[in-house]
Amino acid sequence: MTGAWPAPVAAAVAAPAAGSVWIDLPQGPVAAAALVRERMGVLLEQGVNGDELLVLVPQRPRRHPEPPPGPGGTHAAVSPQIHTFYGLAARMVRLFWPRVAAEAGFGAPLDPPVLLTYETAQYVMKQIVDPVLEQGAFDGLSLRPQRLLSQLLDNLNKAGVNGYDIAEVGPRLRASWTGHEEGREIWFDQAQGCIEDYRAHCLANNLVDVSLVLQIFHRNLMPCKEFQDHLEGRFRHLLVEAVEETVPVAQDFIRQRLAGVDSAWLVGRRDGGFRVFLGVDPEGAWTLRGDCGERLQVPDEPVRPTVSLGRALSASFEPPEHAAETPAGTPPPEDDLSGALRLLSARHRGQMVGEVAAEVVRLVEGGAAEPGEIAVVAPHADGVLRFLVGEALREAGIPCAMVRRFESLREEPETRLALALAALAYPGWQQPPHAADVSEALQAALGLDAVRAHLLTRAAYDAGSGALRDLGDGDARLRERLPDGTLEAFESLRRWLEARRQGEPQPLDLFLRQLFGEVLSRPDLDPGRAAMYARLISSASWFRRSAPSLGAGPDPGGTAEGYARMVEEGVVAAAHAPEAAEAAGAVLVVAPVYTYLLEERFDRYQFWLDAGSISWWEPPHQPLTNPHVLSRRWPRQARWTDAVDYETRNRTLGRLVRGLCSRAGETVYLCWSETEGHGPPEEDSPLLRAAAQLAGPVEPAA
Amino acid sequence: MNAPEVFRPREGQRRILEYEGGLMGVAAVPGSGKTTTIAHLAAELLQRRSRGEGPLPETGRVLVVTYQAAAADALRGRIARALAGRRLPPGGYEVRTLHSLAFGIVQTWPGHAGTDSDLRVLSDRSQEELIDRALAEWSAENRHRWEPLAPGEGGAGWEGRWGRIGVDIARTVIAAAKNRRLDADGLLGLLSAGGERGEEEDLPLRLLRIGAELYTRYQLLVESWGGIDFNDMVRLAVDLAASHEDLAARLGARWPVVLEDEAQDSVPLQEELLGRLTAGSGHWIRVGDPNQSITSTFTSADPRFLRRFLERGEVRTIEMSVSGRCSPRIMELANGLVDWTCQEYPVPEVRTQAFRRQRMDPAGPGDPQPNPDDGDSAIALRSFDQRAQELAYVARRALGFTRTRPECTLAVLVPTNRLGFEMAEILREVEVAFDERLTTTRRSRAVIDRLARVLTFVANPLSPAALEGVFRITSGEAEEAEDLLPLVRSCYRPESLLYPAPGVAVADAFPPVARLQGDLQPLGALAHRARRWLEAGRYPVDQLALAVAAELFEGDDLARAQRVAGHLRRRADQHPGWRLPELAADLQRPEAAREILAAEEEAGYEPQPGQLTLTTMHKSKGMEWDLVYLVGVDGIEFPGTPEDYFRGHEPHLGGNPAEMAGARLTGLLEDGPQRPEERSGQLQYIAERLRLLYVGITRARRFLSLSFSRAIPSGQRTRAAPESLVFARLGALLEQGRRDPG
Repeated sequence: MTGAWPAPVAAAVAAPAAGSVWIDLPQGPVAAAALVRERMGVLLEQGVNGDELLVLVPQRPRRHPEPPPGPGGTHAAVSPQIHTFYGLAARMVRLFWPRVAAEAGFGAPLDPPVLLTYETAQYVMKQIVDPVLEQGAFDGLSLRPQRLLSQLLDNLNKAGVNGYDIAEVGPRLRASWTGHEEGREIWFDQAQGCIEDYRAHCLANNLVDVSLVLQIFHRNLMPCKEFQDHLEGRFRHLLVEAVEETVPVAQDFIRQRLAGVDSAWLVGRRDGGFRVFLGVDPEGAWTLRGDCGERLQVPDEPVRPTVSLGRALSASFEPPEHAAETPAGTPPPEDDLSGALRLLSARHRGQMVGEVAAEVVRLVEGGAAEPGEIAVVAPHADGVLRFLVGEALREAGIPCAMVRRFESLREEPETRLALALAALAYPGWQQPPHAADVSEALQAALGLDAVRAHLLTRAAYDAGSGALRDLGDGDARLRERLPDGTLEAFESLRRWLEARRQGEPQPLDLFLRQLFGEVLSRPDLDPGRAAMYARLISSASWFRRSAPSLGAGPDPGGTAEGYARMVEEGVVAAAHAPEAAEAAGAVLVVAPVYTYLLEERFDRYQFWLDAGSISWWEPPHQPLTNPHVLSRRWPRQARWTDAVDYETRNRTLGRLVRGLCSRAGETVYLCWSETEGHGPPEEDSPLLRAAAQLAGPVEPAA
Repeated sequence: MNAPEVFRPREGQRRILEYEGGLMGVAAVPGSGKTTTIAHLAAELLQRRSRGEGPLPETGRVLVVTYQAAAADALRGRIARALAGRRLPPGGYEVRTLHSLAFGIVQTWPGHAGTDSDLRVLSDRSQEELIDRALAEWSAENRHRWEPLAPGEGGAGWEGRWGRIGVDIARTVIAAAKNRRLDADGLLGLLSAGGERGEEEDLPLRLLRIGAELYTRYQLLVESWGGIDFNDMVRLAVDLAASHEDLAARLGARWPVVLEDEAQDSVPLQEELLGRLTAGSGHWIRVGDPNQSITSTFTSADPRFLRRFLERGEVRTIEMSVSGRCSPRIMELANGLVDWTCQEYPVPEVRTQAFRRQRMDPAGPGDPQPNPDDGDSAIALRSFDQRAQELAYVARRALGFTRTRPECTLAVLVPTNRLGFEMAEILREVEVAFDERLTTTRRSRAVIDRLARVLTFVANPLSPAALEGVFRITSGEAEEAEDLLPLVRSCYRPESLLYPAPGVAVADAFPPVARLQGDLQPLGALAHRARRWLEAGRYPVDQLALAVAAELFEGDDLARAQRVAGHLRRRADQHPGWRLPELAADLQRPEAAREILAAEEEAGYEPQPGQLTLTTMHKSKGMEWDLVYLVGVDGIEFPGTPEDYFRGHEPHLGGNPAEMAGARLTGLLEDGPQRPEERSGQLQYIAERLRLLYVGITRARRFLSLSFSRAIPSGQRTRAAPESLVFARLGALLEQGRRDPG
């Protein structure tokens, strides 16, 4: 394995466990994860104990890297501790809770903390914000209620990842504001009031959200002698994958640990740092280079046309001083980009998606690529994309895996149907489920097709009482129209629900767990749907455990109803989850784009969808938050002018484009539809304008 | 590909093409080649830019703003052809409607505008629902304020009438206030600043205050929903440009020259937005015909804005008075209408409000678009005793004309949709083939209908009617499919057809009496498609609609489907408890079609020879026919003095309450607290109806017929309709023309 790396890197991989090493990699097929994994294996081979090894990774691993076998082919007794920075911080806060709770200001330091998920944090914030909205706060702001909550939580989190007090948030936003409108600053004050009330509520009720985890870790734990001693004794070796994706407080932690460990490996990727909107600070990460004893660099590979393409595209909208360290500008004439860039357009999005699906099928069936060598990346993987691509590939027998972000739990069919069944089991909710949801639920629970599910719903569901009818043996005609055993299965489900309906309300997550295990889990269940159920159960479980502190109802039925209402109100889910676990040999459809970039997958063919959409050039500045202004790096009195806004967006897009191109082996398909924006996309989209400069006028297909 | 377009400009057009920069106003009479001129001016500017000349810098683009999306599409094509004609590369210009321009600006800088890039815009119908809710809440708490407004004879039926009046007041006041960037608090503040003095006696002020309170409630509802309405969108764009100079400068640098088409329909927000975009460069060309401003009574547009612009000292004003559209005879009638109104109209205020004093001049010799000859031209004015006679007469004559002059185009133009529907009935009776373009086009309705049918089926796949609905779609027009319709209709076990169990024959789906014969392939196609749609039923409704549309439609129909999907999304957002059955049912309501495609513009519509077009006078703008019938030109549709009968007026209140409130607001903003002319709403209406008639007249190239009836249907009864003042005057003008042909 080590032979694949340049000699100095290979030597470092195999070196004894001592000293600190910085290794930077180019973007592209050289995987930071692979390098870290290899080093981890070497350390274990050298006899390092697994639990002395702390590995920090950029996102909760979908693929838990299994460490290679230790000496003699056996694993070390304990596996290395592989965490995201937040995961580590949360564990440590729980561990050291008795030590830090009072100091951090919690009202009941002797009681255990209640960690909030993103969903439960929204729930708490809503309790704070609703009364304020009633009084007319945020008057004139045009945001969906959930967006308002998420922006307020973002503000807290930005203070947390940057390691400053939340009292600074409002003044920072205020100081950066350049507009003239009267009253606008009031929003910042109102937002500040909300986050301070929220924080006070959390402290009073032992609620610990992301921002508090990070604040306690940074402010209370890191300076704490016992904590440092614990770390000294526990983790003797540190491996960091993708340093450029770390937030400032993580960098503070890494810097502190560099002085205390026997060995450290920091692996960064040049020109990375794709999640600035989450508070990631690539420039800060690069300063850790100076804290390492040894610095190695894996040079750029021979420049592929796709890499040149990335540079050429980004050069047209990125200020030269921010472009990649390699020369930007129009590619030299000898760079033949004709094969590296293809334009695929249609008047309407559905047509464009259809074209993409057809082209993928052509590539696979024509033998140009294996399914696992093709990726479709998009800002959003909506139903049209999933349906049209999924159906086309399924018909062609091509495996396909979807990785996407959940926006709103209520839009997920699995959530809808599981909560419909829950509503049948919790009569106290007083909210009979919609017949359409019941039909969807029966379809999933009994493995029916849509028509028979409607048939059964019509016969069995009493929308007035919100309960399923006892069909007895069912009439002969109904029985005849349903597959054998359906009525029996239905009766079994009905009794199952009725038992719960008649009994004491049980916790919703327990109900959902049983529902999944006893009713919905079937051999032919799509893994993506199973993952969604698991996600829902976990979400409900967190909610239930936090419920007493959230004021969500004293009894299980009330808590369950509180959860259902929260979902119905459109709570935003934060997690990313694969719809299909097996992505390696499949065409990967992934959204949003940075998820693909963090995956370190390398594909011969990439399709960039909705290239004319504003989502590729996402404004960083939201009405109540701004990741740049709230970053530690932002000069306190600087103003967020249009020039800064414009340059920042272009720089972000440039980084994204180069990152994607460096992960493409052969061809990038730039795909867009004329009607995706509110003006002609080639006029609004810097990406398409850049493409037009390279490939001539962008003439959409008829 | 765009075929090159060669252009031989007339004198007025040539002067426009010589544009060097600054403010320019173009008053263009009907048929003067306005669109062509704009397209060539854009091309000319780009040509000069390529030589490093003219007002357009190297990095700048020409922004063309027009009124409707279809007009924008047409203009895009014209500019592309004009560029091709000059052998210039495509690009360098952008054509936007006001809404797409505003949306683009807000979506690009949402944080500055107080929203996010995924902003939600209320549909018209959702907006109306919110206004209804605001009114219901307000009315419940304020009976003591609206009940006394009832007529003296008592309140029977007043509550229902108040419901309609209140909605109109709210709609008018909200739109007018937003167009002046006045929020609800600002409006209430303005009213308070004026003092309560005299409000009891000042009815318009009372009505305006009610409107302001409704505005407050409405806005609260909009904001709780987390979205904006269309007026907000433009207001936010203006706010952005107004409060962020750097951003305005960037936009100004992107579009250093702005060409505004249909400037007579510009609302105050549009004028302000474009004014701010061009504040740096000063290069703004406004093209329009103040005499064709026919939206001022239902939008915040006002022809005074363009007229004032044309009169500004720093504006270079150019008249495009030459028109090759109409015969001299018809042109003279139109000119006579303008002259008479401006000089002699019996109500002095109307003389200045209705028209700009400008004339249509015939094209000179050798002009590429010569006027039709008077020898093949005629004008007729007729009156009838009954509406039925009038319509029947027009229908018969139209039928005769299509037979005698099949090479000619012809249209019946009506003042209202209602009269259009009556006319359509008669035309059907007389068996005249006609193209009805009253509300939505047939094609658009077909798109909505097909999507609604699929959604209805997915919502209830057990319904034989729903199955038949999708079968008609999946089978196309195949003859064999027609034979299968009774069979599909009889399908009593759709599951056996769509998801046949192993070993079960398709025949099981149908009653035993049904015979399965012939080619059953259409049934297979139905099952295949239907299964796919049912599978897509798990996605959010807009995505389902788009997924279905991708399989069903192409070209413009896909664009229509996209509008339907957007509409469905908004309805689902607005009603989180709705599922597919409610959404499908909602889509089938006539209001849905009206809303989705009300803006289905006529720009792409080309009248065909021998084919009668039936449309409204409003929708006829921008088109022309050889023969035009203007029907229903009576004193009710075209009132002549403030004392006449006006639709929507409450005689006991002295006018239309919404107009009164709107006029009071305009007065407050423009003239200060003093009481404005009480009859201003009526005067504005009279003026606009005169312009509407002018538009109708100038649609005719050779033959023009105007008619009215002295008795017209009114509910179940008949009511008398007086001859309108203008009809009588047109008769006199015609007579005078006959006496004095020179």
